[in-house]
Amino acid sequence: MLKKAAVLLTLLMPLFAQAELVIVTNQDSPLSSLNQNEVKQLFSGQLRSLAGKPVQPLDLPAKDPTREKFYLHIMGRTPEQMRAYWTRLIFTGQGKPPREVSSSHELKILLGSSAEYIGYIEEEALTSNMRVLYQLP
Amino acid sequence: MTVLYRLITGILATSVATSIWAEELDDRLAQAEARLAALEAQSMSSEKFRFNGFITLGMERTNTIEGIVVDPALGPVAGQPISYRGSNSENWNLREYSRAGFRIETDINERTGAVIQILASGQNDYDAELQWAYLSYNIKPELVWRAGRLVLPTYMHSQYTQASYAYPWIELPSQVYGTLPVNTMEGMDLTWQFSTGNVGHALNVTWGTADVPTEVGRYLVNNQAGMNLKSFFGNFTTRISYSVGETDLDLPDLTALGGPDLSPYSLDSSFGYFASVGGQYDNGSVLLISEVVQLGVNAPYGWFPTQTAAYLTAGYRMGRLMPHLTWSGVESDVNDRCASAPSAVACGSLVSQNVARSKSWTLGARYDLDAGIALKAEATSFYDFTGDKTANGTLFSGLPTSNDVVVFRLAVDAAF
Repeated sequence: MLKKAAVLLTLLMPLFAQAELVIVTNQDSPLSSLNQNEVKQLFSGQLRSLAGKPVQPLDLPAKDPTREKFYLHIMGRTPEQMRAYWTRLIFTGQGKPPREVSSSHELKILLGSSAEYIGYIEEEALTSNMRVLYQLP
Repeated sequence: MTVLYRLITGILATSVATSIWAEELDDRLAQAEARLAALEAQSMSSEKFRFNGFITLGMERTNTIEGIVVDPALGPVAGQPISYRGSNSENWNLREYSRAGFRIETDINERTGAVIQILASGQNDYDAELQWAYLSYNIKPELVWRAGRLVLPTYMHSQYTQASYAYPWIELPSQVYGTLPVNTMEGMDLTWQFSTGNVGHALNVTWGTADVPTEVGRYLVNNQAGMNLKSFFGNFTTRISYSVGETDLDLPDLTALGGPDLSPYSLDSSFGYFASVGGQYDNGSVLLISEVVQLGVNAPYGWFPTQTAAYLTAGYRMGRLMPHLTWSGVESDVNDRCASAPSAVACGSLVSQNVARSKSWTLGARYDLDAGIALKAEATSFYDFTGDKTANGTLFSGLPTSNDVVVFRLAVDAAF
């Protein structure tokens, strides 16, 4: 048990060492905050609108370490597990995965262009036109 | 002097070169900007068409299985070699689970989309078939109406049975997923996503017509109406589903061929139902999945026995590797109403074709090679084919009598 906890701690160490992740949207969004469950539902395609307005989650590129960190932290899922999950939804027409951007630069451009978009970024990359909806514990 | 001259010409040459270089840089910058604009436009249009696909190469073989096969002339003959879904102990069967599918999805306008999904499977000689073809309309962001050719949402994994990358096994628990053939219908459905507190739900209602070819005959199910409710709470997912239909099935009079007259047993808008309850727990490392299903059809003289089937799967993920264990079983409720049929023998033959009884243990493993590709291996040990009123090999070519009835499978799955 102790060994397991130690292994877990070692695995999580890099997460503590790096900057915190935040869930952000456009400054003009009518949303003020999200709870953890809403963030989970949003990034697993179970939530398509918030406060009566359509919302669109954004994903960083597949191998981006911030993306891996986000899903491991918020969903407890590896990239492979998320892939299998989305396979289920795609081939039943029940949902499509978050739009995948080419870089964190594109993420910022999209977030600035519409209040529908919601993404995750490192706290240090925050800009003035973004609103923080949730901070990962 | 020559030094000064050289210096002056050198400076002159450099400044000319610099100005040429600056012009070139401007040009290049303009070109790069144009290319970027084109790329941005492209990334917008790539959102308009979405392509997805899946491929499975699966193989299967059995240990040496002996059993009883019913010969049309000699009756039951013992000690015969028995196969499972066309697989035997001689060779690897690479057809049964191998298949490929392709899906194209487009947005016609902001609210309307169209989907076409094509499947070619080894079971069907790789003849391409249209599995899905529908239009979807977002009445609201959380309310979607779809019309066209849709795969029936009978079981928890029904609608993606072909995309095997999505689930842990190679073969879905056969006693359950073999109860009712997974099929497409022509019709429509309505899906409403809503939440109550921290619990998310998806309520789906369907209506349409299904055409189900089986070895007994072609079942035509009219006014197939169903509903299913999926709920998500943290690591838990539950699903309940119920559907009803009016079933037609024409059975032939075989007396001219020296066979029985099966026409009195034809189905004419006979009531049928399918009910299922399922649950899943997945915390990222522990996976538990279970489903219980029941199929009933009001057939004349009760020749269609009500089938009840269930399975329970437990898996544990260790990094990329997930070993899993499944118990699965099916039992049929055979009644005595054949005694009052015009021909108890003919009625009995229909019962024996539709009865199902078997249990199995499956030990398997899935290894995620990378995101989008998985290797799988599993072995299924079948047992208990004989009950008080039933004796049936279900998916076997006869009734197995060997002590060990084991089926081995290997597969590589990809989704892209």
